[in-house]
Amino acid sequence: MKAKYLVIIGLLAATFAACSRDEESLFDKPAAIRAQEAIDNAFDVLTSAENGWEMAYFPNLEASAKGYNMVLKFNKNGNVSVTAKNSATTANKILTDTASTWAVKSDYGPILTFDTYNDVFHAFSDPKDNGAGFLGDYEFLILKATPELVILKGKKHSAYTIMRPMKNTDLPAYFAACEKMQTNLFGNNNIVTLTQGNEKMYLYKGADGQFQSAAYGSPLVAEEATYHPVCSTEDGIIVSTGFGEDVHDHIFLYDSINGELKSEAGAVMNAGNLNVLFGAYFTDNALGWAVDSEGQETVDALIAAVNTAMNNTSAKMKVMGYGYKQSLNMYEGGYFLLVNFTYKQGKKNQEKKLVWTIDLTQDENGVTVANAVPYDSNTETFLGQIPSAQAVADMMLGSFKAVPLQGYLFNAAAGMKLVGEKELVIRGANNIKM
Amino acid sequence: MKSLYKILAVACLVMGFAACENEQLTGESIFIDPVIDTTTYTYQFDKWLDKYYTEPYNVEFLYKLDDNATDPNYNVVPVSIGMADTLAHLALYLWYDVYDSVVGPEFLPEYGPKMIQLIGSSMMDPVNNTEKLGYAEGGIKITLLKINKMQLNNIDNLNEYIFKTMHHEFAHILHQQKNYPTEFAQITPANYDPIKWQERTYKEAWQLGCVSNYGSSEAREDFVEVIANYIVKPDAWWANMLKEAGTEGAALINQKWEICNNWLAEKWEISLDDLRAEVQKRQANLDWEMIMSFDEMLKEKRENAKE
Repeated sequence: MKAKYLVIIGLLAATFAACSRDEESLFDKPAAIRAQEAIDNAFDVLTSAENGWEMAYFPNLEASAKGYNMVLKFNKNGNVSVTAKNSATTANKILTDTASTWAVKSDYGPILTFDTYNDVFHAFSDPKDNGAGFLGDYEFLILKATPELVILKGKKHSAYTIMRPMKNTDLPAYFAACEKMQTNLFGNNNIVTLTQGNEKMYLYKGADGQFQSAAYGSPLVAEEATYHPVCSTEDGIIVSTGFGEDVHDHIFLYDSINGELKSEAGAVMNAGNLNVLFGAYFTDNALGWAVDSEGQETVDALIAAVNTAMNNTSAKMKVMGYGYKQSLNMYEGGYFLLVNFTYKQGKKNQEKKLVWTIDLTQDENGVTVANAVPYDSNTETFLGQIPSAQAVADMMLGSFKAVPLQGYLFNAAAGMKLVGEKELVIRGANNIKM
Repeated sequence: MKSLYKILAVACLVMGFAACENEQLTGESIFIDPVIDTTTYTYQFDKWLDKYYTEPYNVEFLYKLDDNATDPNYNVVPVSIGMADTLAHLALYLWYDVYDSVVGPEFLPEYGPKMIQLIGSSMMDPVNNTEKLGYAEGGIKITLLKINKMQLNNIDNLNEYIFKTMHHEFAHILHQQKNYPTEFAQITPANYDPIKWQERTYKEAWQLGCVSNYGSSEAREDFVEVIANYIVKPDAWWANMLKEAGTEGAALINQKWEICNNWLAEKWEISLDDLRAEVQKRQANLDWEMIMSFDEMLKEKRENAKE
């Protein structure tokens, strides 16, 4: 009898133990259902963008990689249209292919696949004759899919690809705006300062579609550089890889007022301390700054003053308003100020070049230009005839702060202002000869 | 009392199993329904493939590329829908209907590949300077490569890159089902070089007793190269090969051809010469308008056969 009781107790215990799997699950739904929901969500997001998606496509993470703009429209019937304009695959013409397919499928997670050939899209994954081509992908892990942002990662070559809903419906205008951003931001060789949290670094050489990063304040060492392919957009830039450890900011929007690119997480790219850059431009590039006469209220007055002085001499010269150039240059042995102007003597156009040595100091707080002393006998002779022409040189003297110039905010070499008692617009120049 | 124990015991067991009831899986599949979706962009083409390939030949025609189904060591791209359509028509004309006509309509549904996969690019190996144009797996699947680069008006290009590959891979499918004679591999065993075959010219391969340099890589490739080249290359090409091969090379090639010919006849009841004659006749008439409407002719032919 006892044995029977034991059997009953045992069975009861087993009965309740059978329910022990009803412990709270980590997930609210079975894996298969969650996988299908992720696919459905990605499908809905991709087909929901009314004007399609702007894709910043980075084929791979190789040193030569760049970013490319494409515009994609995903249709619910599995058809996709892709448009691009770039020098690498479309000969700089706007090219669209509407005759291929896409799908979201399940693999290790939701995968976006472009599973039939599209002339525009697959130009980056076509292996060409070397078996590699641009090393792009046609299948992507979907890391994030929201109506505002889609983040993809190439399945084979692992580069990130970023998509945002298109705002612009005018494709030629869109590509023109992207190119303009590229020119404005990366037109010249430049050093960009990136600040994110407590970390600062230098970014070099945006011109070939890449940043190379270096420690803040350090020159670039090519062997140690890391590469960050950049894609210019209408409103800023998108980078395929974040800068620094554990930082994954991809999107930097352009703030034209402050001349900065800012990520959502607060990282800031700008030209850094322009006072320092002003001097670095001489030493790093062995080049000069051309002083732009446009917008300088003092220039007309100076020309008038020199004309007056000239008219008082027997030479009877007349300075012409155009062709008036000043530049600050560094040559072996020091800094120089060059003033180049054309004038009329009788009926003949003449050119005059005056050279002064100057003292130039600069630090993080500002730039000081002082002591313009005639450099050569030509200048001394001219000043002997027209002493008031020294004012043309003295105009450059003073203490200034270098500030961004509206329109070329990010690219300081393309233009900045020296603001002190006077305001001088200066632009990087490499064609000024002594 | 005994029956009470029994009732209790049974009740416990029932409760025990019932406790797991909510663990049952739903009947819904996580896979996409294989039924052709009428709302898709490719519905018309998918329906056509179903009608002209899947239904009559029991073969799945895979043109939408799944990266998992490719060799991860190579970079490839999918085929374009346009080229897939062209290739599908071409294969009907130069491959499927040839076997229907020469061997009989029951042959391919039974012994033909169960999957044909198309890939737009080839598989380039720049290190060894080789280019893979197709491969056959497990007697059931053929993958044809470089389809996007088909030069539709260049018969030599089509012959080398497409037609030959079709028959090459199909011969693999056949010998993967019924082994080729072991004596074939004994004819020129010392001449096979699986590593550096690509450094040989065609002429060098011929003189070694192989019909192509790729055929000189290993016996099984040699075996299918004899069949494929014999089927697609014109008389003049074959005669020139034997001449350039020299007496010794030509004798070896002829010996191999005999084995291939006998194997096809004995194991498969296929006449290699009949197959060749039919393919050559069709290749000589590459009228694209006719090829792209060949399906209509087939439909008529099948309806007539039914009657």
